[in-house]
Amino acid sequence: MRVLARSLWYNTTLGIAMLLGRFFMIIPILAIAGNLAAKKHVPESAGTFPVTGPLFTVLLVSVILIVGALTFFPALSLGPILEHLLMGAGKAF
Amino acid sequence: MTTTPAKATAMTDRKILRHAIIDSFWKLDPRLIVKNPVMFVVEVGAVITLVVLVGNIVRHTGGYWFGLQITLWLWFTVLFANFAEAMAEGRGKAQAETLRKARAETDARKLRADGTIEVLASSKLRSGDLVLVAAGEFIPGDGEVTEGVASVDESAITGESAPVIRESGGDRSAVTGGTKVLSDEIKVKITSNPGETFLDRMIGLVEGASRQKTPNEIALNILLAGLTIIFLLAVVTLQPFAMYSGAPQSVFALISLLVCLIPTTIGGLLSAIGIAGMDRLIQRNVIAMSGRAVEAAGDVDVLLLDKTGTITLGNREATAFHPCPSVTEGDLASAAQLASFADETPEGRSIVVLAKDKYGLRGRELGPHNPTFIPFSAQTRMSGVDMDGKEIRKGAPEAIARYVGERGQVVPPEIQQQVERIAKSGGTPLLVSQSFRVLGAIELTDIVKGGMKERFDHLRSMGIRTMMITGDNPLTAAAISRQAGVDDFLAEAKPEDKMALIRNEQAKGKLVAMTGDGTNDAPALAQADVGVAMNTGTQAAKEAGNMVDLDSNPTKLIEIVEIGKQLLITRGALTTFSVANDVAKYFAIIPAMFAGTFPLLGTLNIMKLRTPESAILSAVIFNALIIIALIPLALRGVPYRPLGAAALLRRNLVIYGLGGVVAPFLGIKLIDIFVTWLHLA
Repeated sequence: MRVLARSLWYNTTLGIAMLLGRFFMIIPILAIAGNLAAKKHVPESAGTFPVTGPLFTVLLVSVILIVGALTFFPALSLGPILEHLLMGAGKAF
Repeated sequence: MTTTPAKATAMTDRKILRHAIIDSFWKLDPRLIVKNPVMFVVEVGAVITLVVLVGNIVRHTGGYWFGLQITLWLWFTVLFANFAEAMAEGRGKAQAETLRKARAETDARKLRADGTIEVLASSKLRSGDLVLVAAGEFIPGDGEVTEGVASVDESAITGESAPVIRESGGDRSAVTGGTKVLSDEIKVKITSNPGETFLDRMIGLVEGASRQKTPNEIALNILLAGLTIIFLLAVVTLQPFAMYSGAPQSVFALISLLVCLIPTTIGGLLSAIGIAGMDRLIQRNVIAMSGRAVEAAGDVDVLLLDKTGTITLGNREATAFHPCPSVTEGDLASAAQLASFADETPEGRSIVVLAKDKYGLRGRELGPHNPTFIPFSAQTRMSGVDMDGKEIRKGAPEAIARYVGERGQVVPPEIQQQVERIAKSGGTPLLVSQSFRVLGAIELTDIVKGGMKERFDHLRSMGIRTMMITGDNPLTAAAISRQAGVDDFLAEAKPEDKMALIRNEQAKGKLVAMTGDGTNDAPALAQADVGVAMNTGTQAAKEAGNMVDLDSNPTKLIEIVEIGKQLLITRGALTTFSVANDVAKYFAIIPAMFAGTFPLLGTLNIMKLRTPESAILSAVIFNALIIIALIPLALRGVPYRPLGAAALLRRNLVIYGLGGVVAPFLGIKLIDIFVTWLHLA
């Protein structure tokens, strides 16, 4: 059974989902930022982890990519990835 | 010095294993497992699959074999995590058992107010009671010696068989219940009520009964719970997607995916890591009053070390004689030795020994000379002997200068120069005079313990600054701190100065660790983030600190810091490993779920797993077995290397991050080959 995206059900639920996804993410992020801003300043020593340089960049990027990929991989594999594979097989929507 | 309190650990390994297996089933109790959100989700998943499986059997739907295997492996996952925790607790329990034996009921001789003696059971003693303990008797409770000196066997607590001296007054007055008096009789004032003694607390700590989650553990638990919720949402929303695409999924596949994604590896091993960290401390004879202190030790920036006994050997030793131009070295040595015969201090004895070693001056027959020994007194700051009408004296330079000055004599300028040179080089000068004439100077030197420089270099490479605390003058302190290789020093330190120093460092956002044993150390021990009290110290010091070192070895702070760091690193490494594992599990499960409806998604099956069932089953089996495989690492801890934070992180990221991505691809493929070979799926 196929349901079209242009129905009352999908219009409403998609709208709510987009609203939540767009704006409700701001609340936890602001809370994290506030918490970080309130942290005590600690002078640097050899035991401090440097947050400038390639090591931190690689770490941050891979954490974002892996956690992000893990969250969206199921949805992506049934959506764009499958569509791409079907398109390759000559089936387009 | 490194004997463990409970030699039981080695012999009871098999017993611990048996207990741990039984305990892992008891720990299935949902009221216990709910404290661990990740494992709780797995258990709920296992219950759901079990219910669905039974429902399928009742309704004869077929395909039980796959459902049964998934259900079993989900239960194994929970059991393995319980087993890890039970194993870690087991060793502590074995130690608690030996400690309990030391707590056995004894008779106590209580001294009544009227001076009579009443014999009663040790468990009836209250704080404030006075008891008499003679040679051969057990001390009935924790307390302070108020009268007498005795040698005490504390091996029940410390594992150290050499007896220790406990005496009234001073910093060696504390006694522990359950230890045995070997000689003499002491009067002890009991300071704890039954059930609150040091031994009771120790038993509680090693058993893990009083274990509370530390701030770091709580933070990590929040992160793990957060990840669990995210993956729960990812899996729950997958079903509508799948239904929309016309490929609805079975409960077994969905719950398998969920359990594989949530961080079960670290969730299952988290409490085992914490307990094992405490246990490693106990094996080094350090009792931590809270896990919080162990974690703080891992983050320490500044280490305060007392000079005497920690950096230098306890006492100064005579190392050279510097005579006046008109006096031979032998005469000076002879006079110095005579003046020191009655001096029982270690410094005095070292002068006698040096004179003997260097000039062959042995114990002489002093009887015919009619000697009168003058003991050291704080007023004169001199000691010596009167014999054959001669007054021989030895003492601090200012004291001798005043003493000869009264007879119109002065200290020769050559000797004055020597005195200044000795003081600048970190030594202590003493002058010797005979018949009011200065013969020369004795040089006493602080002996820096061997290997200290390396240990401090080691600490520096870990990013920890060491500071020496001493009552010496700044000149001497500077010389010794240079010799020992510490980063900084606090000279002429009073207890208030120590407090001020700690507060100052803490205000800069640093964590401070220190050791101490005296009552005057207690405020600073309480203020420091990690305060290690020596077991030989006073009750006040032990109460104020958050760790007690049973060996009373101040350099152990270095090992405590390493254990703390190791604990934090182990947690971080296994969390990274656990999350990195998920990548491979997706590539196993997602293509398997939709292979039937969309064979094209087989492109994602990069491991080329045989069938959809074997792929899902292999991922679940890998997820369960990796917990068992990592138990030894969780208990032992990730090997610690003294490198800077960046180098250490880079190393561990390669091993546990990159390794965590790669390992499950190999592991799941291997299990798949095995599962197919056995025709399990």
